[in-house]
Amino acid sequence: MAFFARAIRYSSPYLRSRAPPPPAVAASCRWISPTAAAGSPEAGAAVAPADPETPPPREPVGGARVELPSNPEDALEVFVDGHAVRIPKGFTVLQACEVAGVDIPRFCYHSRLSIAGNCRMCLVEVEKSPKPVASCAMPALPGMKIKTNTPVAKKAREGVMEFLLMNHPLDCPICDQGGECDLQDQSMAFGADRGRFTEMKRSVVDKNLGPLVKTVMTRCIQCTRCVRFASEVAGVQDLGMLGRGSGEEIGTYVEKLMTSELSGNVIDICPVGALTSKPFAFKARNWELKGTETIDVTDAVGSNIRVDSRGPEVMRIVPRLNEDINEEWISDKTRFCYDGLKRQRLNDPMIRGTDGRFKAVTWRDALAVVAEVLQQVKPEEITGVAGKLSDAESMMALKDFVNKMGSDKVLCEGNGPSPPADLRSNYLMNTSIAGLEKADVFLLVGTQPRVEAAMVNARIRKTVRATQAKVAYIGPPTDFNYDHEHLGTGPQTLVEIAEGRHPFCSTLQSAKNPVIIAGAGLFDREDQDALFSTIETVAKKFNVVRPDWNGLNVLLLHAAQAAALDLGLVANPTESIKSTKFLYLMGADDVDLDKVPDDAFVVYQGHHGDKAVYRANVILPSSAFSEKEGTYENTEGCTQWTIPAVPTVGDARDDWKILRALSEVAGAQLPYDSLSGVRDRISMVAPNLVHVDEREPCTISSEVKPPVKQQVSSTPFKTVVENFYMTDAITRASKIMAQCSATLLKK
Amino acid sequence: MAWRANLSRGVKEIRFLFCQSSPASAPAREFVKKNYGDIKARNPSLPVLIRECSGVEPQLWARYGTRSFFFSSLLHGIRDPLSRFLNFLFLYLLRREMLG
Repeated sequence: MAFFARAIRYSSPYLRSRAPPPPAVAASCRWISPTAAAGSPEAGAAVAPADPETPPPREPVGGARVELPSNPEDALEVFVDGHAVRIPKGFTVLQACEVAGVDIPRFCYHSRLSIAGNCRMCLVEVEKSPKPVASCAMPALPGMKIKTNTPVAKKAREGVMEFLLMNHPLDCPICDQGGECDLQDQSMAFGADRGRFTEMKRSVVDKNLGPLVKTVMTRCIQCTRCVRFASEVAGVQDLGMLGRGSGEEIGTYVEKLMTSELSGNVIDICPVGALTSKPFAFKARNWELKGTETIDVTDAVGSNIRVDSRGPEVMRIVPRLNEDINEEWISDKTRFCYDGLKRQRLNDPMIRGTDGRFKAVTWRDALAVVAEVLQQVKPEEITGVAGKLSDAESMMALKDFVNKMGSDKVLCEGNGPSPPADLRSNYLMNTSIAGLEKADVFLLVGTQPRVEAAMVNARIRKTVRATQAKVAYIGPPTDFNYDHEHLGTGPQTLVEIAEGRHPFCSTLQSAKNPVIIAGAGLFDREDQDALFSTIETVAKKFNVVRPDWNGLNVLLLHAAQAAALDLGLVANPTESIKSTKFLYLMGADDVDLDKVPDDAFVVYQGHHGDKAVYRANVILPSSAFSEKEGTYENTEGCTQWTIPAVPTVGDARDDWKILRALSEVAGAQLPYDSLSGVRDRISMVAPNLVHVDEREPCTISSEVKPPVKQQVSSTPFKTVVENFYMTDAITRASKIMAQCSATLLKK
Repeated sequence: MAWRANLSRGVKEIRFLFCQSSPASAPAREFVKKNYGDIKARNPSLPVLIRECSGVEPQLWARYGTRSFFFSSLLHGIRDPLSRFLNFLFLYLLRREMLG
């Protein structure tokens, strides 16, 4: 590579600050010129108007979104292989080719990273240019004639391919990237049929990035995608380029682990097998895997994932594109907790015997015991608790069942003593995750988005990088991967802002689109009514909520939280558990079991043998999120469905089916027998939960609420997520997450 | 009206469903905006769940009684419908309590 001059890194401001365009692909203007006339602009212009037919439009590559600006002066026309396309100003040649339906090979270019231009694989021929141009770094000019399929372009790519393969090890049979390698695909399509290199190939020492990313740096082609991802998206300056010429290496400069919550994404963006998944090493080939598109449940973001399985085993989890929620990244917890789905699983119904040991029984016996106890307790002594990973169907069944038994005590973990469940705008991210990119000031109240919702944090960081948005934070001291201003640790700072006495008020006053994000950890405070009232006062004072912008947000913690609040699981946990005689825990593993009375009968229904099984009298096994169809609502109110990827373990059943069977045995039969029946019932209670992949806006604002008489306490906010890698039953069962906790958390 | 202060006797949960923008839901939206604060001030612990969803007919659900019954009514086309319905609900509950 010493013969190539490094192109100056060219960063288009349009690329960086561009918000996600609307999904509809605008119509483009195209026509075809005869091939013979393509070389002559005068002849092409003469022939084009005489063409009577307009050919059908070509599909952009990979569903590329393009939105033509309304001002015609902001659009321009270029010719790609003789086809005319209209693109916005600021587009590069590569983007124009994508809109025209031509796939340009590339290694270093990535649509969500800045432009490096150092792999030279995207060389195309431009008329009147003496040499091929790197299309990813060349802005498209009006009337430019681009040729992508000429002998010059092919020869250029073949030469680049030869240089790249010169020092590349011929170890495709043992590489984990086999079958999904960009280098393999492009050498097949653009490379030569034989090599001419007869000297010694170079070797590079492998780096240690931690327990998640495996490095074979000899395969590295120095495209710098991982360097740009780490510094731009993940926000850690861990990776860089060392040396020059033939001695170039990608590494961490000093011996250091990559400590980002998004470090696993470098596995996806690496075009060769230099960075692969360490837990997945040598486990499977991608053609052996069955991919199932489903939804992540390890946090409240609801990232779109694809679960790759082989038979009954989940082999890996990779991200799926969703522009509005997670773009094409997922957090490391989402990606690597899959081995928790195979360990500590409950597979048989169990009853605790008189000697205190669990005994496996049939479903009939287990349900009969539970129903018998239900008949002995009073209705108001029954309590149902839904866990962090519960889906809306099972929570609906639990609520209906407990209500039918005559009790109101149905609640969800993490929603606090008096959750603000009346108005949807009080517990959702009303700006939407994609809408955060339009904000210019962020006020984070009692929330640390880096560990609570890594994808929302990536979106905030993207906004800070693109528009220099200001971030202010009220809470305990913590790490951020962007510039922020730490205003204070407790609610007194918020009261000062509400009363206008804080210096930050001028920043909020001058902001065009301010955003306030309150953490769901505030739900657990006794003064949460007064606290949210103060936040609403701040929002009203600085015009955060108006018809065209709603910047008042709550960042939830768990996948089940939004749906639980929609359905109305709002009982007080302390009062409910203190007086209960029958406690039904549906995947609820973080309930304070010390407060459960000694004579209470505890039923645990879940998929993992986590904390709560040790107190249970009856254990009912259920399916994990990768084994069932379920409805989940994320923190912005978008409803999504999970799809089963692998069969259920042992004799476990879906959560709502267990409750349906139990209701029949207990004599309070629920009226639905199928998943569609449960969803019909949900449509009567919270109809937004059946509008899949949609967000329902909220028009009733907090102004209809009565004044709050409660006073704000002076207790400082506290950290909600102590260990990013261990937040629920699945991650606590994962050995990979245990390794991450051991090596990455200590600093 | 008498029903406002006595709602939490017997009623365990009230749920309003309506559309954000359709004309059929306009009376429900207006009712909620005018009366939610008063209802909540008199019944602080009663869940009054307001759920907006596009395309939904305006509905009011109430759950009450020891064995949990659900009662709902479509509310479009009637003058001051929610107020009349809640008054009816209150009288119905009083009658049930006297009988039970």
